[in-house]
Amino acid sequence: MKRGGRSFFSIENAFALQATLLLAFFLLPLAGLLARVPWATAWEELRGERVLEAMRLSLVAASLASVISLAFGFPLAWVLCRRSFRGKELMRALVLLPMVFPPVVGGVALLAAFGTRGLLGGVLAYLGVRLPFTFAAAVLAATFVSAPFLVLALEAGLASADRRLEEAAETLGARPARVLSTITLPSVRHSIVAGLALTWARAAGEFGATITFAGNFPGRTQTMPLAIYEALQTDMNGAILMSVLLLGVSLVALLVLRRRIVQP
Amino acid sequence: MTTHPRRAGPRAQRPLFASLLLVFLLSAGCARSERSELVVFAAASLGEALEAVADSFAAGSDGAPVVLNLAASHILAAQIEEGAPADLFVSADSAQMERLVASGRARGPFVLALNRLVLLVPRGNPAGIRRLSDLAREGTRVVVGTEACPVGSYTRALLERAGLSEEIGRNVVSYEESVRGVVQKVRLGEADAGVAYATDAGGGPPGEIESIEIPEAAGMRVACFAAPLDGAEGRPEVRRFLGYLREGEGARILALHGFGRP
Repeated sequence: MKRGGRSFFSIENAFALQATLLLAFFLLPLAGLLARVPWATAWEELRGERVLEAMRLSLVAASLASVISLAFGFPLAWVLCRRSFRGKELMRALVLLPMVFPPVVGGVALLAAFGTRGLLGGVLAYLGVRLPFTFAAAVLAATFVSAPFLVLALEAGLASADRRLEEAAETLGARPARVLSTITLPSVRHSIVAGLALTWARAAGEFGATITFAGNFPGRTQTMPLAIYEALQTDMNGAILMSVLLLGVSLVALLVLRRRIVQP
Repeated sequence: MTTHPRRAGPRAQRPLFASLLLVFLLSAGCARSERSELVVFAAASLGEALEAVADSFAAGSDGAPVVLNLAASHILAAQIEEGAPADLFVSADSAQMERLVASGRARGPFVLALNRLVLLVPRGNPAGIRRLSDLAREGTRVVVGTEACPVGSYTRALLERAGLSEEIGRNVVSYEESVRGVVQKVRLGEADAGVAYATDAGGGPPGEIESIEIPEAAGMRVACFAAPLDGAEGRPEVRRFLGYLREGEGARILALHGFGRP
C-alpha cells in the first residue's frame, strides 16, 4: 500500500466499488418488482378504467404541479440568488423544509393551513373555496412536496450563470425584462429542464400529503400512488404492474429531460 | 470548503472499515439479545388498546417486550404474505385473517374482541347529524373506509342493509385506507361524518369528536380476530401473551377500551 502508487486500495477502485454497491441498492428492488410482473395478464390488468383514471390524474397533477412550481419557483430562486437581505439563509432553509416533512405530516400541515378549520379556512370559505377532497388539493399537495426541487435546481443554475453577460446587456441599455428573456432564462435553461424533471417525478410519486389533504376518491383524487396502495390489499399483481408503469413513465421523463442537461 | 487530499489515502480508510465492522457486530449482537420479544401486527383500530396491553404485559414478571406494527389489516396481511417477520396477527375482520389462514401463515384464529359501528361527527356536529339517514342529505361530506379495508367492508354491508348505499354513496368524498383515516378526517373537521368503530370515539382531547349510535347496525357482527403466525405458538412467550389476551389482564384492558368480550 504505497501512497500515490497504483495499489488495489486506490481511490478509483474504492469509488468504483462504492458506486456499484449504491447502484445495485437502487436497482435490486426494481429488479425484484420486474421479476414479479405477471406479464401474461399485464395488458388486461392495466387497461382497467381505474388504472387509466389514476394514471391520467397523476399525469395531470404532476404536470400542473411542475408548471406552478416553475411559475413561482423561478422568482423565488432568483430572489434567493440575486438579492441579499437579512434572513436569507433562514429563508433558504425554509424553502427546503417541505422536502424533509414526513409526507403525511405535510398533508396534515396543508389541512391546518387550508382546511375547513385551518388558518385560511375562514377566508377560503368566504370566497366559496373548499379545498380538501378536491383535485386542486391533490395538485397543491404535489406542488408542496415537489417545488423545493425546482427552486434548488434553479438557484444552483442562476448562481453558476455568468453575471457579466447580464451586466453587459444592462450597460447597453436593455430593459430588465429583455435581459431576463434574452440572457438570464436562456443561460439557465438546462437548470430549468433538470429541475422540472425532478419536480415532475417527485410530484408523480407523491402519496402521503395527497391521501391526507385530498383524500382517496377514484377519478377525483386517487392518483397512481394511491391506487397502488389500495391495490396492495387484494391485488398484489395489479399493484406491482401499476408501480412498474408509474416508474416507467417517470424514468422516461427523467431520461428525456435529464439528457438535455448533462449534454447541453 | 477546503479539501485534504492526503487524508483520503488508503490509510484513512482503515478507521472507516473498522467502524463499519463494529456497527455490524453491534447490530448483530442487538438482534440476538432481543430474541424473546414479540412482534405483533395489529389492526389500526386496536392500536391504543393493544399498546396498553403491550405495556402491561411487558411490565409483568413473566412478560416480554411487545413490538407493535399498526396499520390497516389488509396492509398488514400483504406485509405478512411478503414475508414480514411477525409472531401474531390481529385483524379487524375475518376476511384478512382467512386470507392468511388460506396461505398457511396463520393457524388457529380466534375472536379476540367485538366492536360495533358508529357515526363519528366533529366537535359541535356542524352538519347536525342525528341518524344514519342524515348522511344522505345533499351536501353532507361523508368519509368511509375503502371497500377492501375492514371498516369499509362493514360500512358497505351496513349501507346495503339500511338501503342507503346509493343515497349516502353520492356524498362520500373520500374512501380512506384505514379506520384511522376516517377518524382523522372527522377529527380535523374536514368531513361532516364518518363511519367508524365505537372504540375510535375515545382517544384525543375530549369533545373533539362525537359518536352517534347506529340502530341499523344492531346485530351486525364486527369481530376482531387474532392468530399466531408461522408456528409462533410454539414459543412460550407467545403462548403466554395469547393467554393474557384471551382471559388475563389483557382481556380486561381491551374491555376498558370499549371492546366487547367475545
